[in-house]
Amino acid sequence: MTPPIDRRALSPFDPLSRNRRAHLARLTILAVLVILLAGFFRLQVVQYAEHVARSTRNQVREIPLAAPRGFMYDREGDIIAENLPAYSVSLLPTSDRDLHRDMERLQPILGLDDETIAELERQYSLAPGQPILLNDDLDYRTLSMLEETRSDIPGLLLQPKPRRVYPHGRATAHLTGYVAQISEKELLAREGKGYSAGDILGKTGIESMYEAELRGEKGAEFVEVDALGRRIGPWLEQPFQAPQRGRDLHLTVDLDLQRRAAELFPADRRGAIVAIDPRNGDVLLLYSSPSYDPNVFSGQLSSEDWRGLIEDPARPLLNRPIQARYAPGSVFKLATAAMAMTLGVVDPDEFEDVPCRGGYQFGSRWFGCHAVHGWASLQDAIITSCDTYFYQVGLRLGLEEITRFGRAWKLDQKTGIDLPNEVEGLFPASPEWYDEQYGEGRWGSGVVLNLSIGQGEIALTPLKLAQFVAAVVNGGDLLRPRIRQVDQPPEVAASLPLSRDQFQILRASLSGVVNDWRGTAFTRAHLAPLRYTIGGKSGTTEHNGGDPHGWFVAVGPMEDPQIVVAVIVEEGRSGSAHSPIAIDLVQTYLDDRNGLPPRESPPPPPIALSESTRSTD
Amino acid sequence: MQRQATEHNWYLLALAGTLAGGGIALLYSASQTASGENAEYWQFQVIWLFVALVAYGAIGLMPMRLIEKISRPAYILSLMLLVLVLAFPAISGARSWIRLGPVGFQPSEFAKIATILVIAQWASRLKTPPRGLRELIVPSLLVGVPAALTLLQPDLGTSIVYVLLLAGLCFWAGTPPVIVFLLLSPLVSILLTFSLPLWSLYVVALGGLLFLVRPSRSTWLYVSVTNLLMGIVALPLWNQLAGYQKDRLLIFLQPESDPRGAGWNVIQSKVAIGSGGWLGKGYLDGTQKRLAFLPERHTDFIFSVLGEELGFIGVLVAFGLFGLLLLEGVRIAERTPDPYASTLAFGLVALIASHLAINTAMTVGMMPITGLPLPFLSKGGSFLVVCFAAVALWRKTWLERAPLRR
Repeated sequence: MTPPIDRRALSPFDPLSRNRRAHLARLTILAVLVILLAGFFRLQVVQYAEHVARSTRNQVREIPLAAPRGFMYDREGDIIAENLPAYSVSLLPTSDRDLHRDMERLQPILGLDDETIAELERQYSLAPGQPILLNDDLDYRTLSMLEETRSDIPGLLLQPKPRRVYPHGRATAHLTGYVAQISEKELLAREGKGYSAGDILGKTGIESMYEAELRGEKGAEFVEVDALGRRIGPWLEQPFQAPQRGRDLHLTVDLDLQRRAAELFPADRRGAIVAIDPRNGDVLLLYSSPSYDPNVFSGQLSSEDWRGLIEDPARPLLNRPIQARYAPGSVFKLATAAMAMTLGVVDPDEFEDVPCRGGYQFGSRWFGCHAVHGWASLQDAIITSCDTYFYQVGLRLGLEEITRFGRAWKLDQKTGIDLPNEVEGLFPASPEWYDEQYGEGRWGSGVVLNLSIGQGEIALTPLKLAQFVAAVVNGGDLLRPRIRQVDQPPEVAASLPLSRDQFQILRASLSGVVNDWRGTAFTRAHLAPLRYTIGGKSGTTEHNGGDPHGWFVAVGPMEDPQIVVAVIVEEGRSGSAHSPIAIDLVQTYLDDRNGLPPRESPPPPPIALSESTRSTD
Repeated sequence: MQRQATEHNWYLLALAGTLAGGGIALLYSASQTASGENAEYWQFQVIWLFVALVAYGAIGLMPMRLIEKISRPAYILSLMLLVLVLAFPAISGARSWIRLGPVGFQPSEFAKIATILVIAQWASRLKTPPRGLRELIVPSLLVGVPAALTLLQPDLGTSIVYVLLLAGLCFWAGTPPVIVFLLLSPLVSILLTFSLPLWSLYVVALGGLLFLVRPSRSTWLYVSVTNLLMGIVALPLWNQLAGYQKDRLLIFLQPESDPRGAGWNVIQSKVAIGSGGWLGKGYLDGTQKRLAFLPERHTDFIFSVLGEELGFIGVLVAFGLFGLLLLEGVRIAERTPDPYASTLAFGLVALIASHLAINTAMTVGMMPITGLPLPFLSKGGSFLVVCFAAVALWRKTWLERAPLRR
């Protein structure tokens, strides 16, 4: 037995201790290698799928391709809105710094102002990695200039992007509305619906109402990019997805009528024209003046032009047929008459208690009429538009009943047309409404006199008034107007509970306004030959400041009414003065229905009214 | 017993040659990017490989005793260079390059070898193995000075390598592993200060260890004072760091917290390696590499290119080659009775092994990114020359080996 070796006494490098330490060193090396291999195994084998997905995500960018929007057709298949091929340029920069550098190069080519560039750079910081749209509507010269810089600016994307076009822009502007780039706020509100920055969105009108159907489905192109975001080439493993065009819409409007209305409406005036088919509520025409060109929004709208539209005191973007409210004036006498006949408080053939002496004495107040009408029946009173007669009818009805009818006939509600941002009518809900408005006992019983001739606390949109007149001639149904062609029967919002005879009296009155020599519109309506039996009702409404607004609602043909046209000209002084516009539109429409060629009708009579022309309603 | 100067350890040379050749192939692949920049890097490396082989030959001509003699001058020279380098302008944040016109080199690479040489000299003069910390003061200072100078550059990775070198060399000089651990315990203390509970646990464990080992009084004193000091000084310092500064140091634990900034390199490296799978995407076909997602793909992250293109199998082969190389190094150290040569050989094993471990662990996110090259594979002339110098020195040591006893 050898004695145990005292290890401490040994040199550190004797073979035995070297051997022992070498073993330990080998073990340590192997252990470290195994631990490292385990790390690689975990990454490459266990988490393989995750990392492959990430690697693919790294190298592939999806470039969205805009979808063409659906077309809009009028009732006869004429195009109201379509698309034209155009090119857009966007930038997919790698970093803020690249973006800035690229912008400086592109600025002179695209003619961008500093403000726009600052805004675009802000946009990029919100969604880095997303292409930012610089221009939607390149002309060919700019396009070819950009093609040349393409190699210097690798993030430049030139893509076909259909441009929305309205061939009859101004004539149909308030109908179609317009499209423009989606805003940040709109983007947030539509999260999860597949919108992204730079997309086109219907902002108003039909474009907005039927956005979901019109927009179509975006396509996509997949490209391979490197770490700096530079485009290397197409990514072949995912095929190109062609964009799908949106659904086409067929509208109830008549484009010829629409264009005719734009032509006839006095160019320097504000106002609206709306026409509906009284049989089904189809909107045949919807025009607002002044109009604007919706095509400018599809391209690059400079902030200056935008401000011009927003700040124009004439408010061209306001859709007056459904967004502006006017007192209906004498047109409302049809409603007062209908209320009175429903309750039986007047006998249509009898005279009122007091004949018209150019006004009516109510207590201590004198309520004026625009002429001396003497004794009149209900029909006479409508034809001559005698206020005195209707003051007395109003007193017979009383405020309580008038407001009750207002509620029943939904005068204080929207028509429910399929257009966005319609406003409701204004009509007192009950006598208590006056208490709330003015304080108890602080309003006179004279308000009922004003209300019965469509003045005072009443204001309706042109569409609302047209809807009411349509009900008068279609047998009493207040139909929900519609602008998209549907095969369903119209929705009835409310009904006027009159008998056939009573409706007949109202129809005869409407006819009398145009055809009776005493009628308020007789003279002007007969300046041009009438080809159909046309009826109508004028209205002139006082408002605070300025000349009175003029209404005319025309219906035709009276034997079987097919169209109701309501015209309002702001500060147009007299309603009957504008009757030729409404009557022309009725005749144009009926000609077209009967297959007659469009007529070169004489230019509408001038509406510049001489000072001597007093309102005759 | 003198062996012929023409005798080579062909096995060792073949392993080193395979690794270096593979490295050039990987560099060629790393140069094949979509943008085509830095396409010429691999050609430089070919030239450097010739330079490295010349160095290998030159060292082969030097007798071992000459090498031993120049240990101390080489060490002093490298310390001077390490001071000098601090006067040169920083390149990507670190003053680690001495540039004279077109040529430049990194003195810290040679300082590592010089330090190994000088500690080998220390070890060769030991009569008995060191039993306490007091006997380790000399090597600690010898390593501490260049490590501290390197830290000033700043180059944390190389400083860590110095610490590992110290541990390896002390161990090979016969120091019990426990004592080596106690020597380095304050550094562990620094690492753990980011978490007070972890640090407290560590201090308690350390106390238990001291109780079991029953070392000398001076060792007791050193361990308790330094560790508590680290805790007391480093903990408040750590807490004074702003949140984002802590994040930078700890980013390797949670790279996703800053994917486009500090976490980018780790994430992209992990994605590259992970998407390689078993067999890889194929040589030259790595997409992360080709599309330049992989940063520093020629230098620090060359192993990620290998992981992406050759897969786990390729990684396994590479580790296998490195393992064989290191085991051969250990065998040479084991078989050489001359204390100087043996310690030198083992120090080189520790050098190559620590570079390998730190670099590859970094590519898979197991360690913070410190910017340390991978031996034989990474682009970089200085380090390639150092690696072949290591092979040359192993060979010299191999010539000193004892005959096998039966």
